Amino acid sequence: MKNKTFGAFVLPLGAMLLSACGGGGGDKIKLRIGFWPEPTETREVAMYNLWKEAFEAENPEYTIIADPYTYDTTTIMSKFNGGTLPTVFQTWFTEPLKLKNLNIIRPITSQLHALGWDDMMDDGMKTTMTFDGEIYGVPRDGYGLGLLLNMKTFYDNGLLEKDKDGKYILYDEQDKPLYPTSFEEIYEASLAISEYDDTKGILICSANKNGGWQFNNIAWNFGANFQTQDEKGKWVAHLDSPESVKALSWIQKMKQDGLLLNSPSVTYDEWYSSIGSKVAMAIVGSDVLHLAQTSGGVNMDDLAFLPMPTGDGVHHTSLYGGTPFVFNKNATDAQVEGILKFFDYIGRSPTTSERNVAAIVDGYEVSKAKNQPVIPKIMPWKNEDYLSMAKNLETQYLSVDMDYYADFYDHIDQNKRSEEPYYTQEMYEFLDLAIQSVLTAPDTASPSALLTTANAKLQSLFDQNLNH
Amino acid sequence: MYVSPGHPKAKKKRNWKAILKKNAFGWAIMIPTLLLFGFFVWVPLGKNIVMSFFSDANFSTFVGTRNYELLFQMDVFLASLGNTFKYILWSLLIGYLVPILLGFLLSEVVHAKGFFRVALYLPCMISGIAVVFLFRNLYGDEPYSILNVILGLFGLPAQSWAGNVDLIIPLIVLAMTWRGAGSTALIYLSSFQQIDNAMYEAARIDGAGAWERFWRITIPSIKSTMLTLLILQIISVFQVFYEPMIIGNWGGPVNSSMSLMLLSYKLAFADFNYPVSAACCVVLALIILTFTLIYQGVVKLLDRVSGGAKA
Repeated sequence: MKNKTFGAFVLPLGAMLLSACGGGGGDKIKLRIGFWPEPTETREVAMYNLWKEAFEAENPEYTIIADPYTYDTTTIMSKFNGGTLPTVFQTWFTEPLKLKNLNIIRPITSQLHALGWDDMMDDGMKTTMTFDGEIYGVPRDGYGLGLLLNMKTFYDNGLLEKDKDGKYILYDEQDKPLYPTSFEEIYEASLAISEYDDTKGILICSANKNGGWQFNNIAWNFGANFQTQDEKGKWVAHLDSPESVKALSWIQKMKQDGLLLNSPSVTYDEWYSSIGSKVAMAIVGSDVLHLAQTSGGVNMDDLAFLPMPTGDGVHHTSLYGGTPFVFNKNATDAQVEGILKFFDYIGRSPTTSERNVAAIVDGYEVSKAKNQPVIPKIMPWKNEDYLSMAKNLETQYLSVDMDYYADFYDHIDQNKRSEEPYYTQEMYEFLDLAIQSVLTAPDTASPSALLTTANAKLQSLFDQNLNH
Repeated sequence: MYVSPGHPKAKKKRNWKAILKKNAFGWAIMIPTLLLFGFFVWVPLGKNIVMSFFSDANFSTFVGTRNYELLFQMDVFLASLGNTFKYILWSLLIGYLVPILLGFLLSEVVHAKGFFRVALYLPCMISGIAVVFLFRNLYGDEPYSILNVILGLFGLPAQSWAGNVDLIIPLIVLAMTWRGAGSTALIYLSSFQQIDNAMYEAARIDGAGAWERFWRITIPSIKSTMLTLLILQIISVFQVFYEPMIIGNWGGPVNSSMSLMLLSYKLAFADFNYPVSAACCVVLALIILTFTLIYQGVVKLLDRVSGGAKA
């Protein structure tokens, strides 16, 4: 009786499983694409579907599955543990090391090496995705921090003029900038704006580690270096160096004179809602400038994107990083190879193949059709043939007046500098607290004491985990 | 070993069988709920406790009390712990008395009682997160934020209400009270209505004034309700989460509104530090457990006292 029951249930089940395996493309390699556009982005979805069709026709062993996933720290672990994390997804520039430590992503060094892409990758971006000699991602594009300036606010307050064609004049006859190029000039411009206007001078981030991130760049431009290695190889923190104290003192002076937003907890994403009327300037990454128009409603031709100001008269350094595509830990070598192939169909490979070029053009056409601003990109690849092709296409589609943007992009190669190497996120959090303390008690806070406390915490992390 | 039918052990065994047989249907009904409860509540709770003694979310290495040591070394944890007691203090000052007063006033209302009841309860029907955003705008630092508009009418400059380290907790408690006071007031109202009117009449005949009647009749009559709600309020204040996240912009400024719940969430989902977050949850649970035990002890004590008084 038992055997009959076994046969009645198990055999049909086995037959069903076998038939499922045999048909419907079950033997194909599935590539779940997390950076697939959301269904509401109909133009992009249509474009991706065309790329998918072309890819699957030429690579019949693969099936592309649209699996849009917006990276979020609250969902990533659940998605990974639940087996629903896409094969490849886009994340933030801060995340690859964390995801590697959590065992969520896998290295792709050998696959990149086989294609020669590891040598074509921008050195700075490669560094931010390389741990223990292994590369953990493919860069989508790069970003550098710069000074976003609302020229209309400057003009309304008599700090800039317009020419006879109605264009803002950013440089004098000797090509000398008429915009603030130093933190002291930012202070003076902010003071002038505050005399006639409710608008504050500059948006200074102070919460969610965004404050530390931007303060790092400000302090570099005062001549600070936050992390160094001594002759014995020991890592030493320098958050409390005199240069760093000068940088925090500048923020304190701005706050004392009422030139910053009232709130002492300002996050980075507030910039695009503030640059229109709340602040005249903000420190912003080059990769999100379009949000000023698409989310903040500001005309891009009223904005200028400029090199980071200097504090010591020497440095105009831009903190620099890249947005990476990373691969699920459980992705097989074949899946990684398939996705790298797919990059060529979507304009994300470092090649000058017809397919790659056509896909880049498709992307620009969609932006144009959607009336989205097209702003120069910091290229993720460094090989000359790619750079020449990509820059050429970019020039054809640019929709902003480069007179207001060129200064940043012309100098980014000299100015760029990658993040400090160790415990960066923790360091940013310690610095956030120092900035918030200055903003909440600008008349009594001691920048030196606050930075000494932050430095002690960072040094303690180094000593516990790095300096053995 | 032979056990005679008259032996106590044999009797016990037979009783178990009988009990099981008698309650089989009840257990059958409960099993799905127990399974779901176990799967969604007890197992995660147990795993959380276990994770707090391991190195990562994959339970790779047993690290003993290391996560607890790290937690107690964190300035932000100590700040959160201190803040939690500030939340309790302010919630007692603002949030505890307001519902009693509202409930009392409601019980005294003669006309349009139903209207006032609905009006008081209305904020409880609004989504919690919507209320938090509403108060965020109320306390905003922009000149067009509601409190700053009022200041502007008097020619005063805009303030960063939620940016003031000394004000942020009372402001959050005010928002919580606005939302929660209505439902608590209705509980008090029902307690007030259960008080026998004859006691008030007798007190009046004896020459007791309004204050004396309130102090000697009303308060003793609602004592157990007050105590229950006090403990429940303290427990709920320990779990304050959305308010410091939205109004305080992640527990700021300078961690002055950070709560243990928010810290635990931040450690897990912003920093991926799951084991230390688990340790933080265990500490929070232990504190709440302590308050719950105190509550149960006091309730038992009150029952005994009132039982003794009746006897």
